[in-house]
Amino acid sequence: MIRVNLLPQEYRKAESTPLKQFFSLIGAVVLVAVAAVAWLWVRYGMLEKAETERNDEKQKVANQAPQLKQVSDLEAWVAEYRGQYEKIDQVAQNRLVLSRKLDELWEVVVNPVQTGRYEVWLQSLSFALAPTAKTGGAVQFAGTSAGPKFNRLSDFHEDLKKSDFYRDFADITYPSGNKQDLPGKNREPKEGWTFNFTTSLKALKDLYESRAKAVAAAETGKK
Amino acid sequence: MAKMTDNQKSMLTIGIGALVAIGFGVMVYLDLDQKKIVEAETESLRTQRATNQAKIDKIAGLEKDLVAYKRIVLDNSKILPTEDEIHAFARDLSNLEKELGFTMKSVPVYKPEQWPKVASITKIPLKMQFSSSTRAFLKFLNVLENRDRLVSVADFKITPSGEDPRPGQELEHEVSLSFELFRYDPKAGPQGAFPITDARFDSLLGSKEVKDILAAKGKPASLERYQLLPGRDNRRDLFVDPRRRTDTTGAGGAEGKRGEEETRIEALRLKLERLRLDLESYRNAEKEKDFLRMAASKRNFLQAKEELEEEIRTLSQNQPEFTSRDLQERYQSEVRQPYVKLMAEAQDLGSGSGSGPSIKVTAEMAAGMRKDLEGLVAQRKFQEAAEKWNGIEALVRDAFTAKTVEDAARPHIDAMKQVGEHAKFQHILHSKKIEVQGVVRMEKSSAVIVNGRTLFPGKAFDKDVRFVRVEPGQKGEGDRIVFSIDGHEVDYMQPKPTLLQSERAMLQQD
Repeated sequence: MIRVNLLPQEYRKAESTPLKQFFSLIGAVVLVAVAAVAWLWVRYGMLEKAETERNDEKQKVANQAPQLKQVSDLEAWVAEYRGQYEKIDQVAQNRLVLSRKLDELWEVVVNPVQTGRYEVWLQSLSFALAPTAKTGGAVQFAGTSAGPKFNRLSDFHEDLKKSDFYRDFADITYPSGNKQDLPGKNREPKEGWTFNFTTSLKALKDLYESRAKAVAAAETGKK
Repeated sequence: MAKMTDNQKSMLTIGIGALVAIGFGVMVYLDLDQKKIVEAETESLRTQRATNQAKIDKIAGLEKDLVAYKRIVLDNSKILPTEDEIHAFARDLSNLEKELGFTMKSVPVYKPEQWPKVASITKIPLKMQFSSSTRAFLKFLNVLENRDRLVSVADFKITPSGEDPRPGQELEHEVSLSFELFRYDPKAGPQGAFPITDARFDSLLGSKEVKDILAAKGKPASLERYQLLPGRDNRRDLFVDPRRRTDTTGAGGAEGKRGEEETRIEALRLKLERLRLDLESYRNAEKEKDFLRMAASKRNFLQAKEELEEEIRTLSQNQPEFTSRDLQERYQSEVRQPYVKLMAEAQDLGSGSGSGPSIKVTAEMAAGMRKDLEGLVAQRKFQEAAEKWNGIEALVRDAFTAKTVEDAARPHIDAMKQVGEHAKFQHILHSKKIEVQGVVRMEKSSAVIVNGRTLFPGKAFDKDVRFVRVEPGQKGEGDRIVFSIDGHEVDYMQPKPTLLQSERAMLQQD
């Protein structure tokens, strides 16, 4: 049976929202509400907390700035003084007292341990310090050994190697030379051997350390 | 527009709801992403803070390092010259040139080289060229290297002149010398004020950690100093041909010359022997702590040394010194080498007369000498005391010149001076052969009969000595007759006659 409502519109009973529509609306609202809550929780519960933590850390790091400046100042000054300390040490290490070496060489040349063992004089002499890890430099000297016998030159070489002068050297060229007539009619002997020796210094650092040890030993001995 | 059905409306509602929810979801996604970024930043800041904190924790250690290194550098940098000292060095070069007798030819403009990373140390390389005898060059080099401030000689080259030296003259050779100075500027360094206050610096300096660093690394940057081998002033130039000469004229002349040379060697040997004895005497006196004998032996030694050196110097003008090889060898083995050895043994006696290191006068030594001197004066051994004072005076004079007198010894020296001077005047009086024959006691003063003359107070005994007064002697002593010599009062005590030597002597007459 068909029922027809003939009442005018204003007198009719209000129509209720269809259930389907109602539930879909409720569903939509719930969905939106859940999403909104989730967002709010993420934004204010998580992100803002993280940001606050970050800002706190930033502030703490910023608070460290004056102390960091103090550290960097101190480091710069320590580096400067450490550098000065090392350079002064290096300067002292790379020094060799050449007046000692010249004095000692002079002594070997003019005063043989055994009188008359050799008779030598020099024609050139050069000392050059060139500090590297292995050597401290070189001494070159050329000269003449009077007498026709080569062994006198060899004796000089031998005495040189045993002398105080040679103590600071690592090696020296072997005795070699040329026999020559020597100038001067009123001089004897009239023949001699010319030679040219090169000696290499030990590393200056090693020499410095051995000197320091010797000084320390001497001081201990004094005590 | 067609009216929507309920289904459509429902779908639309759900669709809109879903869209809004998706919008929120997107925002959630973005915020979670942002959160991750923020958290990463936070983590990074946290790490940075921890790193910073680790650095900050080092402040205490850095401060101690700085204090220790500054202390070490302040000590060690004393070997490096400052700007002012470099100018003083240049002035000294000129003085040395004059003093040692070499001729500077060039000193090129120097270019200071800043050392990288160490602003306060500047290397100054210098190169000089000059003419000099080997002896003068060696002395110059030695003076240069023995300066208080570091001079590092880098190289030198000697090119000998190649001529024969004239008698009495030394050859001058061409010398080039390179050396480096290291200027120290304590004000250079990092910008800004030193980060530690003076008070904190001092307090940290006393801390254990700083002391440990100083002990481990504070080795002094020592400068090796070298004293030239003693007794080598007259050795031959190592660049001069030492071969003997054969140009003696005639056999008789040669024999005569040989005789002369033999005599010369003998004379040198005798002088060397005297030198050895003086040294021996000095060593014995040293063992017995007889300071006066030490001073006298030292004086004798230095005088003998000067004489022998003069002889050797004259002799060394000839190269070789002796014409015959055997004499030359005798000279080397019997004079030169023993002389050099002796000089090495006598290094502590110094070189040059009176200029060597003096004996150190300690308070103990001065007190001992004072006691001896006062003892002699108390025993009225004035001659001995005066001689002793002469010796002490010479010793003390040397020590004052060499600044080797301990402060605590000075009062003793002053007292000895008084006693010694008094002994000298007493000795003068006693050498006058005075015989006191009687004392005339008067109401206000006394006169004295000396050598047959009556002297009243103020009257002269001779041109030096004036009678002053008579003082009663102490128990057991005769009267003290006081005289004045050059305003200095001295006394004379006549020995008692034998009969009156006893304290209770009685002269009885029946």
